[in-house]
Amino acid sequence: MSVILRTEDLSKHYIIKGGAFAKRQVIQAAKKVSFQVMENESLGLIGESGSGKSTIANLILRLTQPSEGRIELFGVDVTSLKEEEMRRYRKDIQIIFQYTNDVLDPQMTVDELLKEPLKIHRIVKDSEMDQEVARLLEQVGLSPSERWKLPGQLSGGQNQRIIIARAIATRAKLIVCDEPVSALDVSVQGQILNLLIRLKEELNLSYLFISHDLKVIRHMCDKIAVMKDGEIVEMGDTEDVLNNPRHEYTKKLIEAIL
Amino acid sequence: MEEKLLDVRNMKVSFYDEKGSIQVVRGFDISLDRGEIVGILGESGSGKTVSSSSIIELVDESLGRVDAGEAIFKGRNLLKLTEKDLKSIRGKEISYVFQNSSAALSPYKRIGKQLGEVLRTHGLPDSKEHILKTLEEVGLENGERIYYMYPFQLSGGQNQRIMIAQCILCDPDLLIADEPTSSIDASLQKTILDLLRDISTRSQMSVIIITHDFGVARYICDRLMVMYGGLVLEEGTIDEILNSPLHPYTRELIRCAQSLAKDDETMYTIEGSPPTPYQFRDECPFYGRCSLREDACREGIPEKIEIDGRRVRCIRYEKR
Repeated sequence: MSVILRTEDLSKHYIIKGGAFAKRQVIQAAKKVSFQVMENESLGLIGESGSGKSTIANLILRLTQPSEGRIELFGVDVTSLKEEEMRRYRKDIQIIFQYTNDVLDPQMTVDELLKEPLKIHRIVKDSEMDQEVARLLEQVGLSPSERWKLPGQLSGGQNQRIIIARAIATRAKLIVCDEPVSALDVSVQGQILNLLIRLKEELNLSYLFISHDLKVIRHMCDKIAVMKDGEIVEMGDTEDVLNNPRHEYTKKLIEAIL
Repeated sequence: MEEKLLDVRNMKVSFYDEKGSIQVVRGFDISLDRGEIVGILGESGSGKTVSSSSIIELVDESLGRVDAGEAIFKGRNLLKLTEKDLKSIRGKEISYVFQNSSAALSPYKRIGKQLGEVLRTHGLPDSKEHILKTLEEVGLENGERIYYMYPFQLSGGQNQRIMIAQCILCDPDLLIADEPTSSIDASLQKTILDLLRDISTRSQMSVIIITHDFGVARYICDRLMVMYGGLVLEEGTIDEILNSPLHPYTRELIRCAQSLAKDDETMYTIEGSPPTPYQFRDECPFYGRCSLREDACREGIPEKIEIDGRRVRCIRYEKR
């Protein structure tokens, strides 16, 4: 099995300039974070708000530039690639955001929403576009009749399926899932988790899974990294970490499960 | 029998839209004894927030209206009171903890000033001593410092406590808390729920908790109302609901939650999704997703049936 993503001492700090007389403050959002994600593996990032989970997601998607450290995708150092050079890796690594009303353009039909990534990354020929959209719909469990609808005409669960379809449209190898089910109804969450697991096997995907819900993480992830104040304080196999937590902070998170 | 603190019957609420209006709450009943903690459990669009905020007419007059029902609170029908009378009740006898507490606090005013305003609004002396005591009650240490701070200088959990402090300042009879723990970190959840339980026990305050989370409901509630499609589908004690649910929807929802808790290989799911108000029909709202459905389920909204002190809206329990 090959390594899909590797980070080495990845750090990010933000400098906050105060007013004229205020002191400059340095916020360490990520401190020397090292981990790797193997092919077809899912790594869960857990921790409370402000612990640095989303910073890590933004760094590996290269939405922000790291202050220090390295990011390797498929063995290639992409840390300081220019935007044009980075573009060829963009299709390999996609993100599924938490579903809110503004993730999908409300004016675009499902058909247009699915064609967009296909066009940008030139995944299929124009003549095969329609067939490809139909295939994607089926793959994420949407009926052909939803194709001409707008996001506002669909339920939260259906829209989340479209977000997932857009992510897999580019034949991505690694998908960052940022709280993919936390905004969904309890009766719908399971449908989406089942879909993500099925796709992982069918398409040989790797996930970097961010969630505050340990029950979801336990279900989805092979490994867990526990983050606190920008650092990974504990990392290991999911069952191992959850059954025998070593760090006090991990114990605290587990005790908090209702 | 001792009189209920609050008794809401058959409340219906509509919102205005381009075409006129649409009913989002089609049948809401709740009653509370003093010191009791009752949960309203429901998914998005089930009507849980609208029904509980309509009790004290928090829905903006230009956006919606209460169509029917009554809400008897200490002998008075809240739905018939003037805005002036309601103002003297809101915040004093009935308080409301909003979901996003940081947004509910004014960013421009120091904590002490905001809390003082609540007291003055209700004709009580703006006593720093009383405010500091209340901050201590909600578990905030160094209240003296916090008194002079702004909300943005405090964490989400601290702001949530301040919101609760603001709500109990006037020693209300009833606290309505809308998802009080959903915007804060998991490790603080229990602390905030413990706090609500403590205050409720100490001062015989009744609490309505709005939640979508069985874990929260199990942890704190005495009784639970399950809402779906703008209706209360089932009501009972927390043990009754969790251990022997009557309504097919409640049963299925509990199976979904348990499936995740047990970490089943494949998650148990209910196909489809909850109806939006535009999809409400004159039938059981769970009809389309129910595995036990029959034609009779479509003959109007099922009546509420009382069984051993519990209530359920499902034709399976009708005498045949």
